Amino acid sequence: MRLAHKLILALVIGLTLVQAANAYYRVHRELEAFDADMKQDHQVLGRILARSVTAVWERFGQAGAMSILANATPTTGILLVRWIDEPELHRRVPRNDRVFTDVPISVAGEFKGYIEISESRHFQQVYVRTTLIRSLVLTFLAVASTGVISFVIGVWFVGKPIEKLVDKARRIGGGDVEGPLVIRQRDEIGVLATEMNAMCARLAEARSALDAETTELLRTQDQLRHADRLATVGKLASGMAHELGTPLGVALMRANMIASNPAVGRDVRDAARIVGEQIDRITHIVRQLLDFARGSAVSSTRGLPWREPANLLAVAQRSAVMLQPLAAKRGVTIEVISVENPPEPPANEEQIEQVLVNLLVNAIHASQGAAKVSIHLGATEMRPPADVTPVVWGGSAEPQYAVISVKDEGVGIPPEVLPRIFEPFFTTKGIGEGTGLGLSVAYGMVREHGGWIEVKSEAGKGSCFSVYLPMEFSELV
Amino acid sequence: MDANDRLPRVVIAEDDDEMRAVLDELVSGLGVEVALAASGSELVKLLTDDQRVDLIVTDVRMPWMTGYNVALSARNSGLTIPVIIVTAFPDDVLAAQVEKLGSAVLLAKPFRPEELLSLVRARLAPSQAPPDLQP
Repeated sequence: MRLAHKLILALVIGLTLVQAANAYYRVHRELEAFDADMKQDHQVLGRILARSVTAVWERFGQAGAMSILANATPTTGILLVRWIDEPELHRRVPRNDRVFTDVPISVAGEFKGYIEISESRHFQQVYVRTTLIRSLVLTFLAVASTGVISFVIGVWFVGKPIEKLVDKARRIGGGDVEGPLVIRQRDEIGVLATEMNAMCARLAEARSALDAETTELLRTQDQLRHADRLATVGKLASGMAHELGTPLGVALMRANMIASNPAVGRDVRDAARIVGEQIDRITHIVRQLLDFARGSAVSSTRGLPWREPANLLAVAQRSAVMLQPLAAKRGVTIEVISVENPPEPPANEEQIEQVLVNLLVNAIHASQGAAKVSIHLGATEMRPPADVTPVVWGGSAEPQYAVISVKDEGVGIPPEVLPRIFEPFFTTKGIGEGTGLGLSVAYGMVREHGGWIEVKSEAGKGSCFSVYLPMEFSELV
Repeated sequence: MDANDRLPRVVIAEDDDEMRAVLDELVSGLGVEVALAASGSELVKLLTDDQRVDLIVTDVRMPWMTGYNVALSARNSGLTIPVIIVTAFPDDVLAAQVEKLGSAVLLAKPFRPEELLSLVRARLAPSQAPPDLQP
């Protein structure tokens, strides 16, 4: 049974009881008044009759008096008058249908008997019946109208808001805390709605805090996974570099010994020199691998001053010249575009050149046909992305960065590959075309400078790798 | 014949045959006497011989005992012979250990012949100089 219905039922029962009590007391009072009136009438009639009967009795005797009494009795039967000369008849049991009044008659000081006046309660009973019926009808009408009104009011002020509250509670249970409950009532239901809204607000707050924490946790997990992968790769790389060290050393020294041996022919010495140079290159790569494996702990350039401003334009031009042959072979042209005053951030030129070369090689590999690869030099002021280890910068709200972008018109990077491109040994190139270390080495170097690499790519239109280098030197935190 | 008159004696410890051979050739080219060891234990044997040793060139990773451990034992036994420690994996820990060793230097593999030779020459110079100066 719904609350509104219960309330209505209670109201109706209450109202009925009140009506019933009211009708009962009214009837009772009216009846009493009726009886009192009747008695009073009987007294008056009794006194008149007594006077006449006494006078006639004194003058004409009992028979005359009795005939007067007989004549005085009305014929309707409602009012009856008779003579009682036996006193015991006077002590009768009260009756419901008639009202009796006895008037004692004394003649010349001697008690003769009673004049009994009795009147039917017929009219009274009719009146009670009418009153009861009227009361019943009135009660029914009152109950019906009250029922209708309270039903409407109950539905409007209780049923509907409660329904809303229930719906809201269900939604909260289902996890939906959005959309506040609008109940414009200044009663308990209104208070409940307000409290429910406040609870939802707190839930939403708690949930968003939880969401933020979860996101942070996932990000940390991701970083940990990445770090873990890097550590594994690092071990692999260092193991490899370690094993390569000795044979490379032997080969390098042998080549150098031949190259500096005057006893052999010039062409042999030249060949040995070239072998030595090539081993130098391998050595360089191995060293890099080792550097990468150890992070920035022991870098081949460790201790070299980074506080010196790097001539980025010269670095860009050198990289372009270096890769000219590779580009030409594929019909790609490289151009360097710079702002008027190219930024000179504190950086290790050798490392930045390495980064640029790696990016350029990728750009050239991605290009098809007579495409263009461009290096753009510029500067910007911005906040570093959240995942970049914060660099301590002095004062200014948005630190300055030098930006070197390498843009190509190549095939672009598919979105599903994009998040992985900085992973070590991740490559989309064929075997022999790349180790998959180039970008991760580049990223590591740029991070060591307190910067980062941003990638924008559109399939079929090309990619743009932007290297951000802080203009203010700072130690990595 | 005075002890100073004889050639400086360099001990080369390296487990890789090819590496040992090329080191031997290179260092011998300086006109010094070279003794070879193919493991940590052989190096220990050479050091505990009666013969004098002027310089140790040793690899770190070797069978039986690492070059560093041999050098450390030598220091602990009071031997102050200069040491060139060759390694393919020069990490911070090793660098610190070598520095603590005293008159020792770390050389990362792979290296150019000149790098090694200049280090050897520098280490031998003090003992080489007296014979040259003597009448």
